[in-house]
Amino acid sequence: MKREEIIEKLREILAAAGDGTVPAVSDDSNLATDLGLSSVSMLYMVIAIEEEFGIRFDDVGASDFALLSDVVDYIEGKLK
Amino acid sequence: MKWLPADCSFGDTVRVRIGSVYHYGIFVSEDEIIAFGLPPVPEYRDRPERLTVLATDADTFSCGSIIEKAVFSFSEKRKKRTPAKTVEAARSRIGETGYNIIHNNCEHFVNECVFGVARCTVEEEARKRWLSRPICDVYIAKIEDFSQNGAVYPPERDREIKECRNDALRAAKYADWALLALAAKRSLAVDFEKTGFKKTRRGRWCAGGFDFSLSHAAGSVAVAVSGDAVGVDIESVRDFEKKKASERTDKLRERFFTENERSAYPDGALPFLSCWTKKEAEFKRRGRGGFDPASLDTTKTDAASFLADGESETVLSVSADAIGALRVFTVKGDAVRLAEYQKIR
Repeated sequence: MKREEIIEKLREILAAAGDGTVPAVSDDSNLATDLGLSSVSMLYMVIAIEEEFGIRFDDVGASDFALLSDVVDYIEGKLK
Repeated sequence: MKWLPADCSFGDTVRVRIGSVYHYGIFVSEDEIIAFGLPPVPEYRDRPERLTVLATDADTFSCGSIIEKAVFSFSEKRKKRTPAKTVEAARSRIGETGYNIIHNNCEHFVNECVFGVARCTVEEEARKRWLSRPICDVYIAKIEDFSQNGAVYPPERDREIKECRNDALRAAKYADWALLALAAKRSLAVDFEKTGFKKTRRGRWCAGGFDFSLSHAAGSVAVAVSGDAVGVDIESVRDFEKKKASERTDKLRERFFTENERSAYPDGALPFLSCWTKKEAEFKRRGRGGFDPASLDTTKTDAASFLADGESETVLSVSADAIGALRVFTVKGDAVRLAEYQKIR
């Protein structure tokens, strides 16, 4: 899966994890300060990512992700 | 399992609320509560042992909040270990690391100590919520982007499309179905080539396991997919104006709109098409009976209208049980993009 496709899928997940608004995102978007994700939304996002991408966050915690690019890098690594 | 603020005893399962989350532990005494990690508060953020199984006193565990103890149901009591075995299991894990917020957190830890099974209700509920979320997705594409190479599934539909003699209509039907395959796979994780399709007596195609609706106009195709009933309709504003129909909207409104609709929609091509496409979409959602626009009051339906291309070219309406979950995607080649849209009246 291409990096752009991962980001697009993440936009969908972030919209669903938030209030439904489609977020404008970039690689350096901060999950907490730019996208307004609370710890509960973060947990929901991680579970949604597991389900949508068929991967498992078994060697990292949600708090290890600060930027959107951290999440994309992690998914890319898992999909390889 | 219920939670009560009560005096705790040896082997009790306890928890404390920290912000929007709970921190769980096994109570041994006021001086010994065993938990996976320290409570998630700023003052412990830099402590090296914060994500290790450890024993703390009640003050450190509670962070000043009220400690609640678990009260087990009858069936849970039959499954749980004795207090002594629970404490033994917890103590045997002191020093363990490998904390993971999703798969190995403080709730997993206490459940494993008490029941021998690591589980977390927050994770289970969040997963269930995601998998059972309502879906109402609309995909929009240009007919010219579909090359008509290859067959569509099922073979009966492929035959129908190939037998269509009108080139433009055949291209639209092909694009509709190819877009449906993409939408069903992408939004509903449907194994499209194994889906049971059948045709109703009225000639409408239906799928087993999900609902869908197709529409095309002015070089564009729209497909709606949902786990619940859904209908979609798209119309070209330009074509409507070309046919001079826009000059007669007052007469059309008089004939086809209900009294509520005449009050809700002002005169003009765009409001007319907004209401009209809602009627078509609602009719498709119902999937039965004849189309009687004059008796179908869209002011009382769960439908939304918007400009499909972001300009005043095409009006698209969706009527759906899950309209609150509406998402709109634009498709161009391999690129699928979640689009912003503005509802119109």
